Amino acid sequence: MKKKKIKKATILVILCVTSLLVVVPFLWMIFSSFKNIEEFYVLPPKILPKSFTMKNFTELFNKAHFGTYYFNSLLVTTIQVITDVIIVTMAGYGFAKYKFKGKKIIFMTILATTMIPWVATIIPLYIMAYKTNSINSYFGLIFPGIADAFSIFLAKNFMETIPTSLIEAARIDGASEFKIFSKLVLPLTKPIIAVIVINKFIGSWNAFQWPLLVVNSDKYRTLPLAVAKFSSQYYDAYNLKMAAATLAIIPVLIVYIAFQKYFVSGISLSGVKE
Amino acid sequence: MEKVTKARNSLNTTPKSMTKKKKINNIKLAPYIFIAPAAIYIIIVTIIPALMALPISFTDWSALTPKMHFIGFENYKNLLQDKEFYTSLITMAKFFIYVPLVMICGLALALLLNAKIKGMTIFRVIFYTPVITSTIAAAVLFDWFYQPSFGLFNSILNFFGINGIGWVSDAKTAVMSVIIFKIWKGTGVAMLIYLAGLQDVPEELKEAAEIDGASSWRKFRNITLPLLRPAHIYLAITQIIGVFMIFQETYMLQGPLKSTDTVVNYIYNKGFMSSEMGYASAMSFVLFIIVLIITLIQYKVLKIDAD
Repeated sequence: MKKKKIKKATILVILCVTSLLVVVPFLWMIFSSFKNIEEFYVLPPKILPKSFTMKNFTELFNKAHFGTYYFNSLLVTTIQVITDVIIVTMAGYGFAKYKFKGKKIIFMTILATTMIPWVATIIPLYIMAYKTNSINSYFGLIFPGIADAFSIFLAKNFMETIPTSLIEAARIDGASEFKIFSKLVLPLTKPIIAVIVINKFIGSWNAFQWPLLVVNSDKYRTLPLAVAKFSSQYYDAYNLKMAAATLAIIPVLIVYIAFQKYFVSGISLSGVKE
Repeated sequence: MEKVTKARNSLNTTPKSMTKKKKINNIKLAPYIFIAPAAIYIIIVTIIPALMALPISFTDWSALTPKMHFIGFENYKNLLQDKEFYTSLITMAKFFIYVPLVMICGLALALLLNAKIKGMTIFRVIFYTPVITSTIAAAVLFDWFYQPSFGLFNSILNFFGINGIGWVSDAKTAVMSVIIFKIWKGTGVAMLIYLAGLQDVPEELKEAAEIDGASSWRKFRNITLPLLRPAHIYLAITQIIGVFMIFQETYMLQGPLKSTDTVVNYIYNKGFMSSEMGYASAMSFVLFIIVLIITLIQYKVLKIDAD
């Protein structure tokens, strides 16, 4: 008994120390965004600012257009999350609850496309965007990310657990196919919709590669692009850089902490089980 | 029975005799309507570009001149003689050390978290946090930590009486620095996969071994580790593919003399900085084939396992 207690205590101590490796960098970043630039050159470095100043943030919003970048990130993320949920749940339902010609091959093709690395498609996609005049436009920024093919697989798996008898009963009662989907199936699908929404939110908010290619005007720049550009342009402005990084990370951190139980389940769903 | 009569009643009450037939048609048509948006999206954004990739690699397309000419295997021939391409391949090869390292870190954390102690989820949440944060923003933070003269890491080294090193600003340590950053950022993924895998290791097996007097190490070595095989394979493959795709990390944390530039960085520089799209396409096609082969190997191995 005593041996077990010692073992548990040791594990807890190790975990506490290791978790500092994650927590301290985040706290350091957040606290540093309230520092004056002089404090970055003081040795040894201190985590807490001498006095909290909001100057870095006001400067980012007033002089560096971070308001625009925030708006762009919010706009892109919101639209992509909404379209993703609609497209993915519809397809998931189609595959889960209907028998139709070509079902298997279409589904396998969709699943196979999730294995194609982004590097392989990004140049042709850029050319398509170029030919359709979508470079530097919200359309070009948003369209390639309006759905996440892998989520179709999650939605399908979840919807297969809904009893078919429920759907049949609604059909006999005269409900249309779309009504059955929107009024009966979707409410039963909430847990997996939460997983899909959160994954897409994180993915869209942090998206970098495609936006980097399709946007080069300040008007359409999203937060990650702005942080990257800012960081190379004002290399020595560590105070502003920390404030910018904090701005980019905070919304995701809030969503993550509020919905953390979905993350763990969402990943284990899409992980080894496959 | 009740349902059937109810259905009959509802049919009788509907005046149009066409309704039933229309409904059957609807059921036949409905699935196509449901999957249409997803199918159209995937065709436009993935399938058409994937099919275009090879033909484009046979051209000299650049964004600056709207015309493209068919030049056959010219891009591939040039690629074979391109020293910078080989250098980027070697740099990428160095990054493969990341795969075993992140797996060991993830496994260690998962084993610790698997102990049945109250409040373990909080650690799980903490260790997963770097995964969900923007690579760009996190790299800005590490870029400052790596700063040789006043960064945090050298200050810590100095505190212990060790001379600071150049980290990213030194070509010798740049790749290592990026790998450390990647481990910090990616261990949470390996941890979660291993945790899910550990759930499938039956307790009775370990208890039986304990009764037989097996040491903790032997239990781990002979029972836990082999039973985690699906998790090992899944992680090894996804992480290897991840290394092929490294871009954001090395875009932000750039070592001197292109010491951290991987193939994707090179593709980006050629395709989008020097506007040699055809050439960049040839490189990305080569990369695609390599990733495809690895994916197929994964399927083979998993299939053999399943049989």
